[in-house]
Amino acid sequence: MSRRGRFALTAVVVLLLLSAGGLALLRRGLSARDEPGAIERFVARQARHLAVPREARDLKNPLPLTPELLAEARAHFADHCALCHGNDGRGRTEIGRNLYPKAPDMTLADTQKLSDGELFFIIKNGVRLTGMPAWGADTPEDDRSSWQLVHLIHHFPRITAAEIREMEALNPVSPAELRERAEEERFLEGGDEASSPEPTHGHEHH
Amino acid sequence: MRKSTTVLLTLCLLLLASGLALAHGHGHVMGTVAAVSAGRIEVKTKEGKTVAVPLTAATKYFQGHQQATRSAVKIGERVVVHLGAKGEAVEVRLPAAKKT
Repeated sequence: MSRRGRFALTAVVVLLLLSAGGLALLRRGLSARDEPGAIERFVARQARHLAVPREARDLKNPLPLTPELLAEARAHFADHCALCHGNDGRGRTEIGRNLYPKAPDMTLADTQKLSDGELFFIIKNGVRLTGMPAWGADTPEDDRSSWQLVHLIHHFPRITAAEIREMEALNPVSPAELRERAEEERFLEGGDEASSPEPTHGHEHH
Repeated sequence: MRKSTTVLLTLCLLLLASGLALAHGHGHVMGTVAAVSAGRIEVKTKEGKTVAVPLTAATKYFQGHQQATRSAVKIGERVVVHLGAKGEAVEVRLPAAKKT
């Protein structure tokens, strides 16, 4: 076969493969529920790495780590970040699990090995094409909050149940949830017996 | 410009958060403890129905705001059981322990 013939055959095979892949994709659709594949994960991590300028990557946390600073960071994280990342930073929340890519388990090496500067840059600038927005304004106060969060992220592998419980009390709640909580408190303290709403699950018998 | 973008973003997040807060719950069961074992808790509701809910290793127990264990669950006591996505007990809330 001539060189031109081989080229044409290769082009046809590649086109056929691409068409088959495209058709399969159209039939199946794209869902954020899927787990990104290994290649996609690799490319995304490299892109995230390249998105952080070298001078930003090399920055060290300017704030000394103290119990008071960690408490402030926990309160901030519980209010602003836990909705997606969870109070323990593991991303096991309704949103975190269903984002594409998923909110990471920040207790694992992939996040823990990031430098202070990389984490700060990610908090401040977000990550394009993910659910991570850029947080805060470009002010010393907001930068301080972000550096506090950097300390907290490095603390996540050692976070305690008591710390998580304290954060749960600081998570944003809707008025409906507040009413529900008050009703539960009243009931548990011996107030009028409240009716149970029909549970979604649970095996019922009489 | 930046300020208005921040305000808009915050509003969007608040709307999203409130919507999710309403949507996230998988329900709860309130009543008195009819039975409890390693694998499940049965709750008798005000309506007289008995609802069985599976307990798992991840189920958390609270007496008031204090963390507790399954051994704190007593038959006849008031209880609120928060359900997870599969109908399992995520959180079992009991009245605060009486001070002696």
